[in-house]
Amino acid sequence: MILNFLQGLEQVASLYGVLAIISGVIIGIFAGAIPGISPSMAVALLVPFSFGMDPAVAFILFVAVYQAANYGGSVTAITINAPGTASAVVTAIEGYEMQKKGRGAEALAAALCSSVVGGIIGALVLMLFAIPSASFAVKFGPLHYFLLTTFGILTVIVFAGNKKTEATSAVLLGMLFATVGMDNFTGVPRFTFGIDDLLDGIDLIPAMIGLFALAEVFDMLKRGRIDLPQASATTVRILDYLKYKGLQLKSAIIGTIIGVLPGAGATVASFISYNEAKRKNKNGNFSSGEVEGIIASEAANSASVGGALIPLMALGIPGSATDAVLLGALTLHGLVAGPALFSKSPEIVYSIFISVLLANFVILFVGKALNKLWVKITGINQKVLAVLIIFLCIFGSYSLHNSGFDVYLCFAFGLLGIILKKYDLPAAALILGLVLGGIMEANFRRMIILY
Amino acid sequence: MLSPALLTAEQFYCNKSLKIIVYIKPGGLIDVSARKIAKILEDEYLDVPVVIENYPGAVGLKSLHYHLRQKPDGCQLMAITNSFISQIAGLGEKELLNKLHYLAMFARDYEALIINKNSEVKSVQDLKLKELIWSGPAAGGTDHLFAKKVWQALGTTAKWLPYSSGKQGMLAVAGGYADVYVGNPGDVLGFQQLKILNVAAEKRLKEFPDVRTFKEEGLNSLTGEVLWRGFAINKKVPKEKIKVLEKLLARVAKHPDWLNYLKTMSVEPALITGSSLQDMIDRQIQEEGKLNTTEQYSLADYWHYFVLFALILSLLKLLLKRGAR
Repeated sequence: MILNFLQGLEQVASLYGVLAIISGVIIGIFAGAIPGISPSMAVALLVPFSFGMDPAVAFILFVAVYQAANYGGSVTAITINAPGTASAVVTAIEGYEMQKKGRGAEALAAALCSSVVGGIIGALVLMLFAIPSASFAVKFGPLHYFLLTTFGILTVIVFAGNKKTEATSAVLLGMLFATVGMDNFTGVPRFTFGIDDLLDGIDLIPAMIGLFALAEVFDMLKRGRIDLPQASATTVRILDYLKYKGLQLKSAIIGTIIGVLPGAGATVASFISYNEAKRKNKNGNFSSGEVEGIIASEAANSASVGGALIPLMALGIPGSATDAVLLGALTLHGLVAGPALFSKSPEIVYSIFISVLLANFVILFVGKALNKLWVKITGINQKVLAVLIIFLCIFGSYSLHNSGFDVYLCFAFGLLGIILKKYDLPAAALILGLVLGGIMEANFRRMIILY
Repeated sequence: MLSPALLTAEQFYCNKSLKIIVYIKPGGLIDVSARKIAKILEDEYLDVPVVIENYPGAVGLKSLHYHLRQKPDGCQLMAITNSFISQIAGLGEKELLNKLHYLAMFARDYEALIINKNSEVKSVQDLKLKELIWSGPAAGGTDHLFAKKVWQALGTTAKWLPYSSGKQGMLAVAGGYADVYVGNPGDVLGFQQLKILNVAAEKRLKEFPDVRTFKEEGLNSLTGEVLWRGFAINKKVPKEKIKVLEKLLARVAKHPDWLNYLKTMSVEPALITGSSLQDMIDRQIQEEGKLNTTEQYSLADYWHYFVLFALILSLLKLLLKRGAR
């Protein structure tokens, strides 16, 4: 193992290796920050450019993009309430509230620090326990998935205080949206009303940016007053947030474990971790700008990258959409993921492991420099910012499938967001229902078939 | 526009780029194959870029509509599989499939039954002993239809455990939650817990010499069942342009890089074009209608109505709560 590690290090420490990590992190942060450009899309766009590269360098670039894009999603989530990635939805709940209160710089610093800590823990688990962790993924069956999702849904309801009925309604609405589309079990379309675009179901991205960002802008237009985020202080020390190391560690462990499970992923990880932090929190500030919510979400979603790479590397089973692209890229480079890769091309395996780890340190430096820029966004003329948000929502939704339908969907969810606000229904609970509802249903029905 | 090797054979007509429309998200089997072919075309045969455009949605229907909306200038191809044909036909959109000219099928991935190495099932006949759990991708796809054919051939029944991706179906077999996975031989590469029970090839595969064929088991009707990959184009494209494309793809099908790629994936190279390919697709569309009969539903299949009912109850409670304030 030490020899393999050194071989991997040799690849990463080369000039091309270093350039790949730095450029991958920069590309990843910007791609993650743009709603609609998911980490998987960012990696897929780079695949054609990798043909002429040494495979090890290509994969160093890909994993750096992957890790950085997961962090980048938090930037627009905090600054303009438009989560760049699905896993940053939870970050938006607390981050945007902090931003509105002029604490955006703190939120960005907390997100960066926790992403880096989470990413490092996920990478260490990947390096040290890839093979044993993979057997955990193999044994995780329908009953376990069902219980995991039930736990996630119940915690959001149980900890809704005196708004349990509102939270239940929002979750159920999300779960109902999750049933839209072609049913995998019977091959029958459900709630599609003859619209072909609904056969694949409701995509999370337009729903998410509609409910969060667009609803916020609509609400302001309704009130006839544009009061989008306030400029915030720029003198925040990122490493100060290491004082939350206990929460970061716990969230990173949750993120890594959930990341290992194929089909669960960063979004589920961030929700479960956020709910756990909410359960333990004694301040009662959750949903109104609690930094612990950001820490839990970001540590978990960044740690899930290392976790999700485990089934990919050890079994050839992609743990997330980005892993599916990586699996395809491995094939294009003439490599087959799985145990054989460890024996045939250990330098590639270990260069991937090391670059996941090192990418986090680069994210820290690049993110720190960019945070100053993100904070300045809040200083832009607020009417211009509102227009920019609407443009981002349209672009983000359209770029998902090059489809105008997703833009309509985004606007429909924006209007729904206004209704939810009026009746005090939590939008995040709806998104949780949408994310977990499909996994819960599929595994419940698998249980019925099995037992 | 062409490299010297091709310039003498025929004139390529696209000035800007050749676009390959892929009906799934990046990373899937057909996407990876299309990207490999794009690279070979770009490196060896064309002087214009070959662009992959992923247009996922509605089990392939959106990409098909999108392709048919484009100007029929021959500069856009569709990368397809027989699973694409099954799903579109299953949606009752057979007319749309008739609007395509099928250019070439050039990779033949035989269907295979994959089991856990510790499974009690030792031969295909053991599949008849009790009702087993079979896993694979969504119901109605090529693998599910092949499973039904096996059950029909053996005179048995089994339960289908669908997953959103085939890889997760394999994991179910590795974890002991399902007995048989319906996939392709290359799926077991790198997966130490799994082995192939039988393969639908005419004769034993070079990469898996110990794996018996269905033919050896006396199940001739299952021989030749494949997941194939190929290309199609709008029928309205002028015939001379279609001919150029067919010749071009025939060259790619024999290119060493493509053959090496298929070898890595344990997939058999093949090249079927013209009326043979059209006949094959027509047969598949007909079979789709025969096998895709309605299943018996369980209560769990009405999950969506239960959720709707629970939502209505919850909203009523919310209204009462607000009314009480």
